[in-house]
Amino acid sequence: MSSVSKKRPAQARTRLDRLETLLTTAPVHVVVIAIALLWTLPTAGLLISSFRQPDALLTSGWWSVFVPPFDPAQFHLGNYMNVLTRQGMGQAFLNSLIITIPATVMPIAIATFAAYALAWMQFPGRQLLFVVIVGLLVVPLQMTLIPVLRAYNSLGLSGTFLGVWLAHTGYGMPLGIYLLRNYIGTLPRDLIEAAAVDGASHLKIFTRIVVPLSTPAIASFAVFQFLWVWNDLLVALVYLGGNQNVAPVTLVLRNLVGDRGQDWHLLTAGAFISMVVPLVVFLGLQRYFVRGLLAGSVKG
Amino acid sequence: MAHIVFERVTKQYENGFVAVKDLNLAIEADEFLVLVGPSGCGKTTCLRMLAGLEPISQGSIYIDGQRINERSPRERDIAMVFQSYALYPHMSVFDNMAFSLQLQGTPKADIQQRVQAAATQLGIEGLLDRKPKQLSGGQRQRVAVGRAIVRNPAAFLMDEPLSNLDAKLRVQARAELSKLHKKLGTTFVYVTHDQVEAMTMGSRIAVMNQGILQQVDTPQNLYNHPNNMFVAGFMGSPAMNFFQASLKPDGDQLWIEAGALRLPVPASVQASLQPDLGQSLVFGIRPENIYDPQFAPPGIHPIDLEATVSVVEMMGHEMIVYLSLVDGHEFLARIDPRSRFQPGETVRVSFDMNRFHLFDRASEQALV
Amino acid sequence: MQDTANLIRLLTAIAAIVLGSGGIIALFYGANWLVNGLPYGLRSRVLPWVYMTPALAVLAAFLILPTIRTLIISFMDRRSEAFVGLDNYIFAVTNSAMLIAFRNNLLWLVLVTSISVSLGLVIAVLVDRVPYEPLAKALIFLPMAISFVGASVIWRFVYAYQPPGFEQIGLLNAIVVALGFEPVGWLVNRTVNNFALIVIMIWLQTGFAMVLLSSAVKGIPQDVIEAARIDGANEFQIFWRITIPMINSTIVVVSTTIIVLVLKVFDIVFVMTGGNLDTDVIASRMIKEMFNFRNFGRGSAIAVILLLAVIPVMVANIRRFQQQEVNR
Repeated sequence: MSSVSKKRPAQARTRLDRLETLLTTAPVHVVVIAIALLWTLPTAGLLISSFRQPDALLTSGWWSVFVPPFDPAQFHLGNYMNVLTRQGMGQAFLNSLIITIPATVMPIAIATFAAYALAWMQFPGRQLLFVVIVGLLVVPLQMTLIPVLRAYNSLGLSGTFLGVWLAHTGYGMPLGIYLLRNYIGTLPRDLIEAAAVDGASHLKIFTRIVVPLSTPAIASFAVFQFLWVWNDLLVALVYLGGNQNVAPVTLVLRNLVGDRGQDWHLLTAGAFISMVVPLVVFLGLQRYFVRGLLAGSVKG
Repeated sequence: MAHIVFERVTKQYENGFVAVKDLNLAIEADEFLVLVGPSGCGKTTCLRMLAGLEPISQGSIYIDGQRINERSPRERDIAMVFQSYALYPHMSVFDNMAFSLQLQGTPKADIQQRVQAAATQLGIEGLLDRKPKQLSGGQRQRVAVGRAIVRNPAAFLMDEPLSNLDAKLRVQARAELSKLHKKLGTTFVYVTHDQVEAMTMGSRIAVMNQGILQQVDTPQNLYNHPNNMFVAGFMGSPAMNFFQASLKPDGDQLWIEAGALRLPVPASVQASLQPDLGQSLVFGIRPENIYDPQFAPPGIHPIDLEATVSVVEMMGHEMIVYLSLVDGHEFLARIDPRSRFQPGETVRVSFDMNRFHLFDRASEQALV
Repeated sequence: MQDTANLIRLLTAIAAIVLGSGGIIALFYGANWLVNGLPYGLRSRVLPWVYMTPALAVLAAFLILPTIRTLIISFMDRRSEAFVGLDNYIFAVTNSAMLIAFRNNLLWLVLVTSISVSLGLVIAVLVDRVPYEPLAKALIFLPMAISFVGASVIWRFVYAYQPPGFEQIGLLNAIVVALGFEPVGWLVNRTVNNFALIVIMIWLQTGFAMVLLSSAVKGIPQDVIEAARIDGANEFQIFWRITIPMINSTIVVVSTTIIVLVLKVFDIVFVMTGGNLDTDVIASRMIKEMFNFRNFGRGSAIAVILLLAVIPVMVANIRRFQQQEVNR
């Protein structure tokens, strides 16, 4: 890879050459591996600890499990059973799903329709509307909390799933419209027109042409919104309040930190439960997530 | 089989640009009408207004006597082939062709049968399961045509459908489209900037320039009797030679004087040119009506004059010769390939005075 | 019992999901069907608004109107009953707790942005040269998937403190002790606790910076690099004179994104220290005013300060967007 090895024909490489190559690239490897390790260690420590016995956790560091003799019996699932059933994490996990899925589907549907209209329909004020939406991208959520909470209190929406769905739909909307309109706007004009001449109405053009061709962008936004909602603490904290029946994992985990701050066996297992879904989504759909990030946006 | 009428149609864009101005054009049922002109002349805009993709600013378009200005594309019963083909990339060839029928709610068996028939006709029955990405340019073009014919529409609109093909395929596809038109007997409205396509395929050609319809006629009439300098110069390659000229009488004989040129007007047209005496005119002659006297065919009315050869392009079946007069005016001749004209030589060439054109210099309209 | 309750919840959830998403689709179909009854000209004028209305409604309800309302409330007293002029703003910029929050936020902004971006850039350039690039990138990027709360727990564990003499279970203190020092209470010691929190954010954001910068680095045409090499530039000169100037715009985008995120950071402080021991930031002060002290006027004024801070970014975004539209 280095310039040294490039200068010489491959067959002429000697052991000395290879050593030289290794020496010039070694610092790169050392730095990259060191950073990757450093970035992984905290999470790895949490994961390992979550399977250890509660008292072992408090008396020795998680790294001690690597000290021989290696004993598989020191690991167990008890922490998980405990936190899922007795600490309300199981309930919270379900709540997180109930909150996250509609709070992802609803903004996708609404934003895709709006993005199509902004990209392919003629109406006055279209450009201005989009500029406003770009501006809304970075409005801090904090700006909206008090009035929305008050409105929710008088409408009876605080502490309900519907309230959280709608709030996430609203907060995800600028990014969704921005990403999708930019993508849908780049579809070839001819395709849209060919479908119109073929006899498709706007709704048919939308469902049969635009949506199938925009799946990469829709997937990006879906992954983004899903992670955002699942990982959210602020919106849940403010609009769900103290209602434990509807609290998502982030809220329950946060309460666990407050109430049982030194019970590491619960905290580690709880944290990992809160992380497992986003990690799976992230690892499985990283491609779309990165694409969404690259579409270059700033979220409020 | 639709009878299409443009009645005083104007298209003005929001920025004020007038793309089409006061267009009157009647297209007969089962006619192959070619709209031709340089890019930006408004021909594609005409087609798009007819398709319903572009609102009409003024005037009306009628299909079979019905005004269609306010109808959406789907209510016009027309099919269109796009320059880019606009095949739906996520659908198979079959689905691409079946799409419009599915939207109409045609029964499945019917769709199957019509798509199959169209595919067989175009020789693409083996490609029905493929995606557009897996097709060659020529195959895509056929699918685009197939998508139009399965619908059995009242009219086919084609927007430069051959311009993305390589030269050899284009010649082949031209012939196939002509055959298809004869077989279907439906109205074709075909837009192109290529006058060869227009000449070879159109039953009539409408020439447009700067949003204004210049002339509509059969290819032959258009070529032989252009209405004005634009049509004369646009149709034919290499283009017609133009010389600034005036008419001078000398006794009984009328002469065309153009710089170093002095050409006698044949007796047959002398009388009709009398009113234009003394006017500023333009004399036009096509390169193929200029000959090497050695190979001039019988039956022409040759007038010889001297010119200097600057460039000779040997094409095999003909020679294109760049010539200049004593006064420096340059012109082209398409002559017999056996000619021995050499660059730098001063030679004698024959103008066939049976086939020349005269235009008014100010209005650019043809005389005679 | 628990199982039945969960089953019911699960069914409710599925019903809600179906109703929520299906309802939206049905809404659009229904409206479209209604509009189809109109003549073509009118229809093409109405239909865009049918598609836009739900989006505009939620934008108005959750962003535009509340923002305006917050602006108004920020000039009113704690219960929004009487106008108090600029009192809330005067409080926000003079109160000692607020001043600490401002100082901390500035610290966060400078450190997180500069370290994340420069570290991300270095990794982006280095990782390009190793064969195990995807793995290394995934590991560094992974924290992006973790919530602030999850990350806080992870780092609380790293920072865990046991009194001297006891076995340290926190990684950091174990290292400190192994090096022969006294263990440090990272989250309670006022000289280090802010930095301890900032490290978490750097850990979270470096991956983001790296991914964006890495794709920009890969976008630099290979022949430009080769031309520089032929001109005699070494790797460092290439980095400073070719790479950095060519990905400048990405660096700006990444930096502003991180700045906006850091300005609003709340969860980490809230979970780790609750803002105690001089670790408050503006966003966590706002929640405190709102929830703990029930002073909506002050809370709103603090929110407005956050909004003012992001306005330059907002303007820059709009400019950049309009530039894009022109170039289309």
